[in-house]
Amino acid sequence: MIRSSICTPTHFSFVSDLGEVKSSESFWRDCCLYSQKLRLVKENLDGQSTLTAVLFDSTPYSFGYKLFALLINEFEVVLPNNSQPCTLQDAASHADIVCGNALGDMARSKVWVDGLPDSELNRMSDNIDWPLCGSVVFSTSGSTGKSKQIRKSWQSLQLELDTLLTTFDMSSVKTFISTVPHYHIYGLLFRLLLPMKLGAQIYPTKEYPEHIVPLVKTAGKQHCILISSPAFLKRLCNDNVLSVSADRFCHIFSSGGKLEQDTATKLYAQMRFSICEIYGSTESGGIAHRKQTNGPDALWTLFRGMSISAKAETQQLVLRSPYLNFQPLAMDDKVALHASGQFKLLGRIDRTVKVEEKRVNLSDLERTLEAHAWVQSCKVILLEGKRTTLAAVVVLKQEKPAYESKRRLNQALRQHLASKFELICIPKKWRYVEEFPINNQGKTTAAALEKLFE
Amino acid sequence: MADENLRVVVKKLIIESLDLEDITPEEIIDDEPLFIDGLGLDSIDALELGLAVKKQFGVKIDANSEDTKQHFASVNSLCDFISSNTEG
Repeated sequence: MIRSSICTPTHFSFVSDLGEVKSSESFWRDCCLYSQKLRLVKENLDGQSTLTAVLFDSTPYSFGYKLFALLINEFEVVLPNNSQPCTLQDAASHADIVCGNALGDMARSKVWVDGLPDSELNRMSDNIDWPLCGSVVFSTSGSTGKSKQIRKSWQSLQLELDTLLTTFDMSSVKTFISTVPHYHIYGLLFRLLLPMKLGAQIYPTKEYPEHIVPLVKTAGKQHCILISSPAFLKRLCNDNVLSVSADRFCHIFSSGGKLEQDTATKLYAQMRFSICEIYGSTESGGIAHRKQTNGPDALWTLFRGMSISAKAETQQLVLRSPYLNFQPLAMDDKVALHASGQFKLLGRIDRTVKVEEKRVNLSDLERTLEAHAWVQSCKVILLEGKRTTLAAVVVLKQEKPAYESKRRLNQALRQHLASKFELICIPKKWRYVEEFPINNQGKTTAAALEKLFE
Repeated sequence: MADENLRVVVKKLIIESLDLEDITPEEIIDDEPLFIDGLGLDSIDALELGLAVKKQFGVKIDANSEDTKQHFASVNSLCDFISSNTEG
């Protein structure tokens, strides 16, 4: 392979948790060594058509060069969406090899590439380039049900990357800070591949606003991009330690869920800076973007090449995206189209499930419960078991209602629902929480809600 | 009239077989309706409870649905039904 300066970005660097800086030279060198290991592994696995690798590595740097080496060696790369032992075990059981620092435990049953010796490797051999093809399998977070596997061609991710580079002016950027991990599609594109293309410095994931302050303080004007989520921004606006350094940001991105209007407005007031929201899903990739200020709900603008329509009866958004070869994809959101080509999102489409042959609209149940004077917000889920039943997780309003026991509270809410729903369609199990459980993407997953009932 | 022991057994059976939460046997009121209003059990619970009662006490649920409804109306009536079908 010949290294071309057009394909291979060279100015990026990674900062480790301990503050050590790894250059792009070091990245490509490590990529090359890993690639040689993979080639040896591949020779031993000969005879199989498409080889699958599971990759989970907690540091963006090692994740990055291992991902590139895998793609170059034509492995299909499966990216688990968390490092829980069950998730990794499950992913590893379907794969030919396992890669990354989190998968050492699997070394007994699978080839763990990281654990192979370096001795036979030729350090000075072949040049390595930015991969051009291959496929990556993401796992969705499962906020609307079970986690799903989504296969993406590497080309479609590159297409999206090109779109991002032409849509947003990022020419002044030197530093990428992220509150989201690198193994989801949003993180992979925005916090790993994008800064590599731009030749920026990539910091490890920061969870607290306080940890970001020193990084932006020392940066120049408009030098920083922050890749974040609504979960992070919601907390930031309660004590905005970044407001004094707002001029250091070139963009602050938010994706992975809905940024509440209230949060966006507060942040704008504190920072005089608009958060750039990205709308999309693992399945769809990025669809549109918008910036909220202090005005009313801003319209979304489609990324280049996208077209959308609304289903006549349900208003469900149907996407045709160049990343998906323009195959129509129905999203879980309702949409109102505007003449300008922009659009407004009108909320999720209703979720309907069957309980003992009775069709019940979970969204309707939730709306009805939320209309009760004591209920702040709630989620209703289907619990599979000996008998499939409905279960509700409720956040009560702060001014706590007077009730003598949890049972009485359950009864009151059940009675409220009974005015509209059949008995079978009323949740049987109830949990009252201060806040819904969220994962590191700031999403409330069906699995996390189910866990409350174990 | 069924004895207190049987009532406790039946209440425990109701809670266990229907996987009820947030309620103890003591909190189930002897003469309160089991279905709809009182405990809020539904028609599927009725089937489940019927199965559990058959299994534990070996009593037959009779073919007349009105009678069955009566028998399953409350803990008291269910206990009467069980004891009259197991003793004689």
